[in-house]
Amino acid sequence: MTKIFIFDETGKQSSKNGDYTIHRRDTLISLLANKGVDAKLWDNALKLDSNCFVLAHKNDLSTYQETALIQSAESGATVVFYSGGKMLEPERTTKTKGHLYYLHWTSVLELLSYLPTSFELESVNRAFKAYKNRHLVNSLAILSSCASLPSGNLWISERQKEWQTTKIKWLEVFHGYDRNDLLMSLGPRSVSDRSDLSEVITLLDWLWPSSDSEINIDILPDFSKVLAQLVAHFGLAI
Amino acid sequence: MSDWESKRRRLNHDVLKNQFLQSLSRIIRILEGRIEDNGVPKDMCQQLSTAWNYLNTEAQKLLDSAEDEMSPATWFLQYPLNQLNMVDRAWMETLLVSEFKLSSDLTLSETRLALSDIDLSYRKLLLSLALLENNKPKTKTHPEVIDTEALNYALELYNKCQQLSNQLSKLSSQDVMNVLSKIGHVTSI
Repeated sequence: MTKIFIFDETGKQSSKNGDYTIHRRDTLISLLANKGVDAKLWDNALKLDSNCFVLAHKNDLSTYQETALIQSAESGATVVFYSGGKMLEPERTTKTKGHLYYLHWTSVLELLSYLPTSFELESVNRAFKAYKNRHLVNSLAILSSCASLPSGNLWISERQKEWQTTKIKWLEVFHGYDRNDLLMSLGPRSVSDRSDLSEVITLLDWLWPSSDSEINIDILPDFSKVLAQLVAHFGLAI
Repeated sequence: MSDWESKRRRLNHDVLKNQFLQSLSRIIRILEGRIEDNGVPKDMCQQLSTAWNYLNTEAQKLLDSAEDEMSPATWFLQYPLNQLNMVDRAWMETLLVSEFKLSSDLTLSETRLALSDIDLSYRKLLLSLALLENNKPKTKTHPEVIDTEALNYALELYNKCQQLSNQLSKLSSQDVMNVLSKIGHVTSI
C-alpha cells in the first residue's frame, strides 16, 4: 500500500489581490483526503521505501534533507519537489529506481487532480506522464500560436520570423525531449495514422530530422496549420 | 486545477445549482401549487436571500480576479515554457494576453450582465412575495388562486440563473486549446 508524506514547513499561497491565503500543506492534505488517502508529515528520521510517495516544498528542505529524498528516489520512492519559482527539471530518471519530479506548485495541484480515488503509486507516474504529454502538446500549440498570430507590431513580427525559421529556439524550450517524446505526446498511434496531424509531424521532422521521415526535412512548417490541427485534435480530447 | 478554477466550479455547481437554484425550485413548486403550503414560508425567502447574498459576493470576487487568473501569462510559469528567455517570453505574453483580453472582456462583461440581471429579477421576486405574504388568505393556498406575477418572476429568475451558469462555464477557459481556439485566427482545416 502506498504511504504518502508531505514536507512543507513554511509558505502561504496568496492571491494576487491578497484577498485570500491558503496554506499549501493544508491544501495538499485536503486534496489527498478528497482522493481517499491519508498523508503524514515527513521528517528525515523516517526511512522511505519503494512504496512511498513524498511531496516536498523544495525551499524548506535543508541540503541534508534534499539529499536524503533524492537518495530515496534513487532507491525506489516517488518524490516530488515543488516550488512557486522556476523548476528546471520536470523529471530526473537517471540512476533512479523510483521517480524524482521537479514541479511548479500549480503543476502539483494539476497532477493530483489527475489521480483516481485511493490511488496507488503507479497512478502517480501514469498521471505524471499524462501531465507531461498535455504540457508538451500545449506548448507546441502555444508556440505555434505565437509564431503565427498577426501582431501588427514590427518588432514582434521580426521575433515571430525568428521562431518560424530558427529551430534552435524551439529545441531550447524542449530541451531534454526528442522527436519520439513529442510523437508519444500526440497519442499512441503510428505516424501513418496521423494524417489529421500532418503539419504537426512536419514541425517535429523539422525540429528533429529523422532518417525514416517521409517528409522533406527542409520544408518549413506552416505554424497556423500546426495550431489549427492541434486545436482540432486536442480541443475536446484533452 | 488552480484555486481560482476550483472556486469557479464550486460557485457554479455547489452555490448556484445546489443551493440557490434548489431553494428557488422549491418556491416555484409552491407557487405552481405543486406543493401545498400556506404561501411561501418566510424562512424559505430568508434561505433564498442568504444564498443570493453569498452567491453575489463570491461571484463578484471571482470576476474581479478572473482576468489575472485566466490570463495566458500563467502558461509561461510552467515547464517547458518557463525555459523561454525573458525577451521571447515578454513578447509572447504581450501578444497572447492582448488577444486574450479581446475575447475574455466580452465573456466577462456578459457574465457581469447575467449577474446584475439576476439581482434585478431577484428583487422583483422578493417584492412580489412580500406582497403575496401581506395579502395571503387565512386558508391554505390552492392552485387556482396562485399569484401568477410571483410565479413569473420566479421562473424568470430561474432562467437568468441558468444563463449565469452557462456564462460561468464559459469562464472555464483555462484549457490552453480552448483559449487558443478563441483568440486570433485559427485556420480552419
